[in-house]
Amino acid sequence: MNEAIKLYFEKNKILFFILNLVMIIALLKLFQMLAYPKADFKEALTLNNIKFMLVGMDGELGGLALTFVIAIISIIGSFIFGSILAIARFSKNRFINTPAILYIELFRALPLIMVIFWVYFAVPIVGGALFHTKISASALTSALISFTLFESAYIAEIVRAGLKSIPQGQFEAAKTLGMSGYQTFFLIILPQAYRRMIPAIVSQFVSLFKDTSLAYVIGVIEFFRAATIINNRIYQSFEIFSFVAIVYFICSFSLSKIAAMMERKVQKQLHT
Amino acid sequence: MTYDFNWAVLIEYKELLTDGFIMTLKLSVIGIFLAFIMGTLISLMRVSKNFFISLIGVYYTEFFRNIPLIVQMFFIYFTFNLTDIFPFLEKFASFTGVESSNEFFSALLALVTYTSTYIAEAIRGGIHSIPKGQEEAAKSLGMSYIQTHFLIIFPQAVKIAWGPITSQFINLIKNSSLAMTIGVAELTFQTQEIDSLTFRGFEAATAVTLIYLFLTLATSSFMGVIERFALIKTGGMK
Repeated sequence: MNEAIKLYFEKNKILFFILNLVMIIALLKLFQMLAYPKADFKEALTLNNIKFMLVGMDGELGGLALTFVIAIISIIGSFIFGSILAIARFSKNRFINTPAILYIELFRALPLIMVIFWVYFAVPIVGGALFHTKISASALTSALISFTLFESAYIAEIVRAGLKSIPQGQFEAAKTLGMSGYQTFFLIILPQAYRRMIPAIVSQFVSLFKDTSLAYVIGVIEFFRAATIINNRIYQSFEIFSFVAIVYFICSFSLSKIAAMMERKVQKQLHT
Repeated sequence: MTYDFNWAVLIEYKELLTDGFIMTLKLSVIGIFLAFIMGTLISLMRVSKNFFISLIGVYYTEFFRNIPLIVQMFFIYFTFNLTDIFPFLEKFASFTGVESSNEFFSALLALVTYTSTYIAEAIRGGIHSIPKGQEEAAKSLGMSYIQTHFLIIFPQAVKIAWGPITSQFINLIKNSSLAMTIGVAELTFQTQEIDSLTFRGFEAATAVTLIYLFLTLATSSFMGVIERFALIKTGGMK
């Protein structure tokens, strides 16, 4: 019987996905009934509150929409910066690859929250010392900068792994066709590497999407901060945070399933 | 406009920094220990032959992996009073010398649930990479299911997954900085403390950055030493 269930779900993946979501929400409801019977979702999750959490106040971007905007802008920025870092690290010149290695290792050893504080508190000081002017960044800008700086170290490692996975024969074949070093790299190697990296980058995007909740500490009103604002007002933490958890779960679970699907596709393409 | 550095602040407030360091260490060490046990259990559930047991494992990993750590921390901290629900935690807190026990255990619980999912995934990957013949060989030697798993499959799987497990331990150390948001006085919290006391956030942040660098490097080299001397030598497998 177990085998039959397994086979059925392997054939109908989308059904299994929806069933999983429903099951998890049902389990949460069960948990709520056991652990916190006095929960009152109607009072906490009014239409206004949900609207504030999902799209922010009128005329101003906030909430879940802002979370997505932050995540998308930073993943694009860190993709560009991370690629540059990875190419620098791949280079054979020691003066080019040493700074890249130092950058990547430093940012991978730091907690994201420290990076956010560094950008938020140190950029005005460093900017003042270097350019003799008062530079100040808003909370949103410094959140974007710090996510970009932090993620690009991880993206650089993904790009480097992608570059390494290209067989040596490709370089040699390009050389025999009379291509220059730059042509080989940008026309032959990089496009192939990028295609292999797409699943890894999508899963990095999922982790970035979860990490955007840390912009909370410097006061960006994204989804999590909006939820805490409401929680501070009405103090029904169980209801609000379980709503937040479910929304985050649905978003990142679907995204990670998409990443897994893409990975299977890329694997199939590579093996045929 | 130039910024004049005053590194003497660090010496003046060195107690805050050492307290924060010890608190981070406590969170990390207890967290790593519990997360490893939890991750092991979940990975064993996931590779179980019983569909429903493995489904519970899948739900656990998918659920706790896809919710940001900070949300889990806030959920636990603001909703439940852990020391009221589990009175023995109070004793444990006084044993380890933790003052704000409720905050500490909320942060610890969230860290353990979050990291254990990643550790479970790493160990599961290791278990899947063990060839089927190992299990059959153990069975033909007359070993029971539990013996096969704990004496043959699991040690090899941990050896293979040691790299990802190390990076998850490092992630746990880094993520322990999130405990500052619910008021556990660890390293990052003390940076803010020094900043608000003396307005010298830059120096404090530099010091704390160096401490985090030291912690992560120490962990990765320590795990490397364990791998070299304990895992490979006894197993004879590389």
